[in-house]
Amino acid sequence: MARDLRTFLKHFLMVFLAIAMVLPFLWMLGASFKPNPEIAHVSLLPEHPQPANYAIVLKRAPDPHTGRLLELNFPKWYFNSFFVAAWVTSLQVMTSALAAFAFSRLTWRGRDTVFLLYLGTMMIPSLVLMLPNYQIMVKLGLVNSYVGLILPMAFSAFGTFLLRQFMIVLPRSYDEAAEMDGAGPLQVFLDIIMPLTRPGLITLAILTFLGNFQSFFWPLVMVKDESLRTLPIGLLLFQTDYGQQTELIMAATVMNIVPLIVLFVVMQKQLVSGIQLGGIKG
Amino acid sequence: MRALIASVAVFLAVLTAVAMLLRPPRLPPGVTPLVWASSKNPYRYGQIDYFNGIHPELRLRLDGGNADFQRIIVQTCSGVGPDVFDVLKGSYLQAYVEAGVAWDITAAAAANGIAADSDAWPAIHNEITYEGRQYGYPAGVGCFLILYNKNVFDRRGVPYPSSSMTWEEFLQRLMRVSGTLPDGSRVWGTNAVDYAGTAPAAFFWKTVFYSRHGEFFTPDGTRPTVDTDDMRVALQLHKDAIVTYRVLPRTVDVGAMTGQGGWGNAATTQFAEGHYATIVSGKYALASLRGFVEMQKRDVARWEADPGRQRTEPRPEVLRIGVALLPHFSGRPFSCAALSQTVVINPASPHRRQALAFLRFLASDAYAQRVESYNIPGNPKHADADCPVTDPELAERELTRCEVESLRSGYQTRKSPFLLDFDVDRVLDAQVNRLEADPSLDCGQLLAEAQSELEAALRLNLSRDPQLAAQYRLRVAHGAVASTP
Amino acid sequence: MKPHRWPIALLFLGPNLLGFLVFTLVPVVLSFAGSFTNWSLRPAVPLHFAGWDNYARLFQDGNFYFYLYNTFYLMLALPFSIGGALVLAVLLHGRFSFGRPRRGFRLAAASGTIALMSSAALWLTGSPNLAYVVAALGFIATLGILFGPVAYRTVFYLPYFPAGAATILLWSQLYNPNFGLINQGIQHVAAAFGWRVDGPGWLTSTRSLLGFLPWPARFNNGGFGLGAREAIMLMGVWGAIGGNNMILFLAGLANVPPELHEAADMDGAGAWQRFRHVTWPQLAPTTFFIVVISVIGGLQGGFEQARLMTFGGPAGATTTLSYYIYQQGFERLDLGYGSAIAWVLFVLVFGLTLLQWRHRARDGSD
Repeated sequence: MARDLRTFLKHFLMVFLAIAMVLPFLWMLGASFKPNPEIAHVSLLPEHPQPANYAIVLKRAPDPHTGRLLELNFPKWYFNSFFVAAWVTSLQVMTSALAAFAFSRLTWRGRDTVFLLYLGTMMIPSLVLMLPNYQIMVKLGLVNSYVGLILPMAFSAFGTFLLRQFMIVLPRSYDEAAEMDGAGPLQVFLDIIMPLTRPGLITLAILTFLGNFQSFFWPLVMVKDESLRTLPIGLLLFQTDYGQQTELIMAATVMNIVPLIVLFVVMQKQLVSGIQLGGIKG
Repeated sequence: MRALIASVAVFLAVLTAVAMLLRPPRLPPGVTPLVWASSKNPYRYGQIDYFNGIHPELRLRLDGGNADFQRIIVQTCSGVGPDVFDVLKGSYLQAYVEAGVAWDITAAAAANGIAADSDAWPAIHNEITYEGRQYGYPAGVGCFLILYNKNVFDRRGVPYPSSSMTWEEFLQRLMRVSGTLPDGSRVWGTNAVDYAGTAPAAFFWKTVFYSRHGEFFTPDGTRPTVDTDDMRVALQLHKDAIVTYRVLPRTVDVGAMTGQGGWGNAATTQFAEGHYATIVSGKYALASLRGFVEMQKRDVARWEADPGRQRTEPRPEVLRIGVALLPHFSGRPFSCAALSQTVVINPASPHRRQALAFLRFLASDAYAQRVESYNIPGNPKHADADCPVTDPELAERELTRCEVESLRSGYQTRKSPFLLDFDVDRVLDAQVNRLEADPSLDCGQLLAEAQSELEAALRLNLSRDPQLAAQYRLRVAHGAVASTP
Repeated sequence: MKPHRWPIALLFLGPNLLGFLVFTLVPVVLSFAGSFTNWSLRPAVPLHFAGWDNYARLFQDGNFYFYLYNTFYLMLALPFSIGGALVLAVLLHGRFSFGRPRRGFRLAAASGTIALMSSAALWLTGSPNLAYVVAALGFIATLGILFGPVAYRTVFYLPYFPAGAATILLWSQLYNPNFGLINQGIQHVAAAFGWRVDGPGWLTSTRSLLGFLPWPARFNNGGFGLGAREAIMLMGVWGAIGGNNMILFLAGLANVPPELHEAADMDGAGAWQRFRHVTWPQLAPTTFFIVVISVIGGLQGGFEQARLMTFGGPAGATTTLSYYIYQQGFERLDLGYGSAIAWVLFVLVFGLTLLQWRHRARDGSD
């Protein structure tokens, strides 16, 4: 009974903390239903709710100020963010897994030196790489294209590091047994190591997906066509020198995060157990 | 595992197919696409539709989100820039030319009827030319004026500003009309902030500076001149307006106000809502004010249909504005800045020759008709003082008259090839920000620091470019006068 | 185990290595080389070697030291965000389910109903905002009691979901000195005590908590108070405490062998002593990882906030080194100078990381 009381108090505390965290989002939800002049009012809820905001963002209703449909293409931006994130995640997981295998299960000369080099580059400020990467993209003619958005993000030292930690704890006996049966390294990789590393793969996938969905700076310099914009930079278009339509941005953001929340809830157990198994050792 | 990889691959393939399908459709063959990077002014669409109608071999498209300085430079230098783009602030033209992203149209200008000397307002000569070469043509020109909110003045019982006021009289008048209302909100005297760049920048001091016909450089452009009486007076008046008269908000306060949403140029909306008694603006404000007035009229209609509201709230206001010329200094002639919304052609664009057709259009009567409802066309031959009146309370004819009158006495500062105006703006803006953050700082001291910083920047430019240094030595030796009038 | 041959390793490493070379190594070399030239984005300027010029300019640049100060200042929030993540993780770890499931259901139903009724009551008596908050509280409580930590973790992770501009816009609204929720809240709380308070200037103010120290005026030392820097730090802490750091701590906590806890329990150790002597040392690798990553991130941070929220102002108060690099590279088009700043930043990051590595190696068991 006493333990239950403690548990109850824990819940109480959690809810209290949660409200502090969630208050801005309550405001955001309320603001997404407000008509424009009410944004400046101090209230969480609108006085004259305008659910049409969502329709306006989705280009199904005209913007009350101009009387025309918005020129902005929110659904396309959503698709772009999703498309780019899906490709980046798949490529990153694949290449990181392959490389992690090379660093953990194969032995070759210079293995550890190269690995340390990889680790070292994680410390380099990404801004150092941003400017030359942009020039490289220009030379390759990949500016303002999907490929240009995806390719540089498809390789990650962090991903390699993470998966290596997972693979390195697996017993060697599996590899040796398979090799004695005549399996080549590729088969060992695909059929034995990868399934065992599943928690790590899922963890990396979730972190990469969520991270890439929000990536701001790289699309900012790479994207020029409105039809290519991803969500974070698409939202910038709601702020013109003709004013800022905060309520539309809030509506767009609510539509943005709801699926991500669902994804997170569903994947949560995998994420936590994945990080747990990998562990941050040494 | 193999199954998983295969299904992911299939999923990606499907997604890619969808992405390819969703790509914007290609133009029919024989039609040249032109991209115009500008702002999303609602009137643009009508102008563009008309242009595409008279030029079936071209398809002009508005790109509303990419016209800010960094994006133009970065994109154009990387080969993905627009075909034509707006120069948002006069000082950017020089920066664009030095960066190599503005096409020199001096040779083609006369033949196309867009020559700076004969087909555009003399006041904005320095806005479309640089070092004797022409780089663009205006999509609209104007000068700043004082727009005042008659409702606010009437409520406070203060007489409207007139066109012959001195700065002293103007600030006194503003002091009477501004203040804090019973509900805690603040009515400011006038606005101070320019949004053409990325960040809001204070420009009240600039308005004062221009009314003294100030210059940032010596006539031969070899030395910056910011440590002058003109600048000192300008900064002092700016500080006084904030601290002594308390009619001007600080730039950071304006930043806080704009974040509240509101459609229309942020200062314009605040003005229409009654937070500013006057704003330093121009006829272009009409582009957003009209939409705002319509919203207000709709609200009045709702009020009239709702007896419940009529009992609890007073009748909602509809904006009424008046216009006055900018103040002047007593004993000095009237002077103000002439501004141009210049359109420039990208020299790396494969369609630059066709883009000249667009500049021709900007100088034409057809365009003038489509722009006169909210701006003054760049071609003085087509500027019509009798523009149509849609709303008598928006002072459209007076706006046009005042703009044209100001343009006759307007000017632009001379530019120097050795130091970008862009850098001068940046340094001075930083000093103004410091002054606003800490009004106890001495204006003279701030300007002296700015002067030395700019001189150092000029020396840095010379040290990095030997050709420029040679030109500099030549100028200094011969004491030549700069080629700009 | 026989060593593998090169070609096999290359096959696996290949794609990753290629990407690494093209998108990491080459830019690194280019940027390093570029910092010794007058590399500019302007096509008209011919590229030529400039030696140590950029670095010399850097060390004489007053702005550089100012922005370095800003960068370190903003990192003062790190202990709070990491500590906060640890606190949340500790709270979320452990029992959340009740002895008998039915008790849990009944509690959930009860709390849900109470919240709903009080919310309705508040609504009807004219406080719709409070009603909204209470309803949300009830919703979270019900979900939390029913589903345990999953619900709370999601709630704490929320700040990570919105992309880019939205969170920043949200907080700009909240920080509005006149109409923002935060100052309004402060004013209402103060009014309850009978005080009339104006509320801090937040993004419009150059004051800072360290403003009482005799910094040079160049650092726009506006005096003591809550200004733009504090606003950004608060926003950062809010965003970081429920995020990946918390998840990492949770995983670390789960990896602490329960036998150690039981042994300590049997020795009569209280909760705090158990934490200090069992949990904390076991968490050391996780904490180390988080601190290192956070410091690396912190030194490179502040860009988005500066670019979208404050434009580096007021009067440069929120310009960090990364924003300065962006300004130099993309606004002044001076990539050579921007690269030099970036490499000085790298040396800082590397140095600090090395320092932390050595420190950890020295006292191994803390």
